[in-house]
Amino acid sequence: MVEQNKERNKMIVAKNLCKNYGRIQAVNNVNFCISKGEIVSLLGPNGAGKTTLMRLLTGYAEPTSGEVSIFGQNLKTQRLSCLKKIGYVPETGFLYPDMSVADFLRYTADLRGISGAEFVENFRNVVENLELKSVINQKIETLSKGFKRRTGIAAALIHNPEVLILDEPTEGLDPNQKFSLRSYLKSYGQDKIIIISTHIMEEVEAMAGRVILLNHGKLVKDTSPQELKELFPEHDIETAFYKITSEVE
Amino acid sequence: MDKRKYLKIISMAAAVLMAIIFFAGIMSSITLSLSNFKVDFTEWKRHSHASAAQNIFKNTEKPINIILYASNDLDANYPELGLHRQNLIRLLEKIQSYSEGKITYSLKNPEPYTPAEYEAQDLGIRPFPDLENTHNLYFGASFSGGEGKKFVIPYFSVQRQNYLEYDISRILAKLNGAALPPIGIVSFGGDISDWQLIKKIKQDYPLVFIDSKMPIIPQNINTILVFNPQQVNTNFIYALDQYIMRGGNLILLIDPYAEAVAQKYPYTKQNRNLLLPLLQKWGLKMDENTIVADTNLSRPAYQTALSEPENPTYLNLSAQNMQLLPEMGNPWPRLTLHSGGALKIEHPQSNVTYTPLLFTTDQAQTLDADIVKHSSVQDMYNALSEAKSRHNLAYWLEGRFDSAFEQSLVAGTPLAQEFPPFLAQSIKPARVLVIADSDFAADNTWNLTGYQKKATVFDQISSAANADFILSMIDLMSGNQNLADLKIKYLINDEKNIAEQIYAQIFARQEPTYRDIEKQLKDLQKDLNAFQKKLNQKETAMSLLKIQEWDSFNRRQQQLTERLKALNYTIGQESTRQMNRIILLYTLIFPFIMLLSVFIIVNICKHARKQKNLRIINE
Amino acid sequence: MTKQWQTIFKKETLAFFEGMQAWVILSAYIVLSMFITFFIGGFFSLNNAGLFSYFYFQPYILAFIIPAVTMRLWSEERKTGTLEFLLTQPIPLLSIVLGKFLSSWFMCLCMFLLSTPLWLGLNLDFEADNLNILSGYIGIILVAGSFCALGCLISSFCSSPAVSYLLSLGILLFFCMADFTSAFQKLHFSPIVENKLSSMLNLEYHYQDIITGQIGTDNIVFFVLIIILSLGLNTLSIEYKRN
Repeated sequence: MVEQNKERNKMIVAKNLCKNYGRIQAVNNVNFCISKGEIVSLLGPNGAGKTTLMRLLTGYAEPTSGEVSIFGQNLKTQRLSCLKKIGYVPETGFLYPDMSVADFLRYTADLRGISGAEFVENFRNVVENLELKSVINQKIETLSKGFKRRTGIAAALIHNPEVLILDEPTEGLDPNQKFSLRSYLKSYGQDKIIIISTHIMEEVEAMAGRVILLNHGKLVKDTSPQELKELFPEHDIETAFYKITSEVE
Repeated sequence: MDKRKYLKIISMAAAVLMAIIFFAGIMSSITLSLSNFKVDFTEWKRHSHASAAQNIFKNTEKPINIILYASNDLDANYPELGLHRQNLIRLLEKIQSYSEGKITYSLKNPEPYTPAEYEAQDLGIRPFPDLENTHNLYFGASFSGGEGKKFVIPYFSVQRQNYLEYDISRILAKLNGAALPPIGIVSFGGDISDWQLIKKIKQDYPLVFIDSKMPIIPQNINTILVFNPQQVNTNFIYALDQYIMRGGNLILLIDPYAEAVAQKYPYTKQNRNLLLPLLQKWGLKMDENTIVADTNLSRPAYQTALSEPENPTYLNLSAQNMQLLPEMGNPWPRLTLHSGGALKIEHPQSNVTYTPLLFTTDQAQTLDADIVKHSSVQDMYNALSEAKSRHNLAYWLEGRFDSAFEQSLVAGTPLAQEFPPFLAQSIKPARVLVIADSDFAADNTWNLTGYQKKATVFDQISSAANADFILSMIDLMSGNQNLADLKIKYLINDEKNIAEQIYAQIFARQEPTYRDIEKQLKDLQKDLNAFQKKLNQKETAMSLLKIQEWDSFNRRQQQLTERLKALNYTIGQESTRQMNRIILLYTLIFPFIMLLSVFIIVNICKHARKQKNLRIINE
Repeated sequence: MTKQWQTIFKKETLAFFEGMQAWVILSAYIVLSMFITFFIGGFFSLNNAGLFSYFYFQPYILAFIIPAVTMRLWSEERKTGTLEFLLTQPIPLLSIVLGKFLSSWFMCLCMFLLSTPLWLGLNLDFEADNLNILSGYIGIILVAGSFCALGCLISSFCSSPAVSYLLSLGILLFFCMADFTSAFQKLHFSPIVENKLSSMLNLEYHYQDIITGQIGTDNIVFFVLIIILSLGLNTLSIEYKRN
């Protein structure tokens, strides 16, 4: 599978990524490639380095060593053009509480340099797809958790990014919302790259075509959910996850 | 890995340090090189140097060294002095750059009990105590040029800051120029050597006091000042006449009534034997009984509305009342005359030009000299003449004069041999300035300096530029055009503060009523005087009717005075209200209106944006 | 670049005006400074052709007001976590710094605009030296600019607006009153150099030069350098925080 990927057009390449916070090695020598049309799930227990890895991929944090390239461009040297292709939804609190949903979307679009007819079209799309119509003029701080999350995703999608990176996107959503979000993301990810971090197995099964398993900052497994299941045929995927993470320790 | 982090912190710190050093470096280099590039951003050009002063700075030939003795803790004790010190240093910097290094300055801090302090004391820099009275502070300067010439300003007074450029330029010009010629002083009104004007002239010129009985004036005296001539003897007239015939310069202050003398010597009987015959011969006439009064030039009455009205014989001349010759430069900020006379041209001499320098407005009136001498200000108002016209207060005479004498006083006596020959006409052009007011030079007319031990000319505070005017005329007559060009730009106390401006505006609104009441009072006083006269003349016994009439006069007078007081009170109240209105208006109302309108606009925009959002998604 | 700082500028300015912040700051400023103009500055008892009573105490007033403007610019982004959002947008860091700084400076301009009725009133009723007043306004705009830049810098160090306010207040007040005269005197240079150095680094000296109507290159350089230096450090500090 990995070898197959290499042959295909590699869109995101992470090479020997390391990130240290003081003495703690948050990400330790991670290598992977992701190509178009893939929905990748970053799996791992809390503190495994998922968020750090995402920050490295979005250029928010700079790697201690190693490099990331996106569509053949180095993230460090051509930061701005790389970031243009990425939509990123961090895990918590990335929304301006005082702004209304529409203002926030408009602001994001402005930052991305999207205006005029393009903005109107994208705006209408994300509002419709993420069902934000009812709260469009409401202040973000007055929204429920589900709406907040979807506003964040809408802001990340306003420029139709090639790469969508979501940190725990379905947390705090009710089952219905989870379902509709997943199906939307799935359809969106057909010709794009989506990277989702999660520690919920159910989500991996529902969406991801590929799983990257992290533990203690190290890449433990890079397979598909089916393979993960097949490796441990007697168990479901959650047990597999448990087994793998405890094995490494 | 940790090393890297420390390295980063160290490099960050280094970067900050570098930035600060870089900042300070750039700051200092730019400031040191460009500090003289300044723009004068005031409409009144307060910070620009007059071209006369600039010329003095630029034309310096010999090196001059200025040492400023200023204590370091000056601003800590007296902040206004600190500011003054900064302005002074700025001026010195400019002088240094104008003179292209010919004039240099240095700063010295006379710390207590150090050689610097003793040096300052020896020079005559005046010590003054700090706030806690623990040690002495100094704020003065010494100016030394070649040939051992040295001048000292013992103390830079804040109240004299408008004179800063003037004082320093004069000193520099004196250091740079040749020795100034002697000036003769003749006074008839007693000892005037302690007058501030005399001190001022003495600062620059050697003075010679001339006896008013001398039949001869030495021709080496460049200019002669004659104050308030009275009981003049013929010898002196002859001496003056011959002095002029030999091309002398004369400044003559002549007066129908000199308050300064009357105050000092109340028992002196004013002798009307002035130099008038001589003046008449020169073509000028002054009526010795007439004193000029001009209510437009006396200080506006509102300032002292309740107390006595301002003396109408006080004349405050501004630029509109001066017509200076080109070589005299710009008008002075203000000249004050006190009970001056009116000069007229009568039988002018053909070889002399007559220029009126100072004059009143067209609304000037006259008063009898006796009334000014013996009556109150209110009486003066009542006695003002009906006729209104412009009166000339000072004349500039230039040219070849004809002598007032037929022959030498000593003709035919053995003394004739020792006297210079008699001249019937000027052999050189002479210049005469006649000011029809001898109080013009007196302290109480222009000087505000309170009594101060060791006070020098650099402590003088002026309400008018009288002394500077006379000094400038001496400069002009003695041929020091560069000194004569120097002028002060404004008098500090010329400016009216906002409260005074408000008062004036409100007074102007009430002025017709005020003047009306004043006029009624005046009329009443006249009637009363007439009534009194009638009573005295007929010497009739007081009848009941007359007592009643007298009473009603008094009552009316009382009523009118009361109304005047009430009006005054109202004006005061109204101006206080106006001030409160201003405070309310600019603190609350205007800002509130502005904020409200912005608030409304912001909210309309917000609403419009919301509508637009809804429109987009509903389409 | 040009468009992006405008976006940040617009957003920050709108954030000021849509919340309560702008209204509170603007009214506090105008009431405070007019109160000081009339009751402490001696508006009525001085000749005020150059509006000296208004300008004289401005640095001190601004030292209290400007931290309130700048306190949330960076620290709130850090507190709510929106910094992560902002820094993963494809815009250069400098334009974010610039946009935020300019919006706070614009806020100061709005404050000064509220005092312009006094200028007009002075012209209508009293003697006014308009050139001098203009130079006074240039002075407070420059002071406000340098204070805003310093405020932004301090805000980027702090993760809470309250801490940022207090720290900025302290530093700005120090900046207003700092007089290095005695420090330089201890170095025993020649008195002229001492005087030059201490006045060069003294805000009051430069400010008084401007409000009395003698603007010089040294005054402008002083304030502009503070702005540039603070914004540079601000960029560096955010860059440093990112890692």
